[in-house]
Amino acid sequence: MNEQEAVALANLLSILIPMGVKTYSQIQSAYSDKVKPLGDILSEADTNWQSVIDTAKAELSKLK
Amino acid sequence: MNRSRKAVFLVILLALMLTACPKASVVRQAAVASQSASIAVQAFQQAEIQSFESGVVSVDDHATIQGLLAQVGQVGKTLDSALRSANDNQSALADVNTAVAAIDSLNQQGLLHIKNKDIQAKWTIAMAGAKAALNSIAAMLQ
Repeated sequence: MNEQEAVALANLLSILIPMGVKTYSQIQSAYSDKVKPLGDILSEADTNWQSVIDTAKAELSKLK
Repeated sequence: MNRSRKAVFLVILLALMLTACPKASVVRQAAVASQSASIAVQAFQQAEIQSFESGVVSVDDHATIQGLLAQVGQVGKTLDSALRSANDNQSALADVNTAVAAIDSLNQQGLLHIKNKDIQAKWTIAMAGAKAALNSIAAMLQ
């Protein structure tokens, strides 16, 4: 491998390594998507928010 | 086509494939942020109720805080509903920004009306936590 080829390889690796990291994180994210569907996460968040609302209303009604 | 051109072509193709369909993950991250924010707000609410029951928080402050929390809860539910129908990153970003602005406004109202300085500081921390969770998504989408 001459100097020119080594520089070309280094340049190529500097592109491929970050892409590899990004690919890994996207695969991991896609795996998590399958583990817990989006709808389930939103339902859990909704339940929590509704609990905040219901508790607040109950506390306010105790004061009347 | 020589070997290095093929490699560059493959890299460009891979980049296009990776950036073409990030929507599901981004909306999912926003949903996770909403969930995290809701847990932080719930924890604050329980702590505030305990402080009220032990006499640390006045009736006026308790009423103000619970009234504001009911509105924060509504903001969270509106965000979840908007995320369910978000078609792309930009609409998810708009939904998140709307929620952040609403929480900001409620935080300001809390600072104006809550008299107990300790509970006022805790209120700001809880709202900052909820905002931070949502802002991390806004930063990712921009």
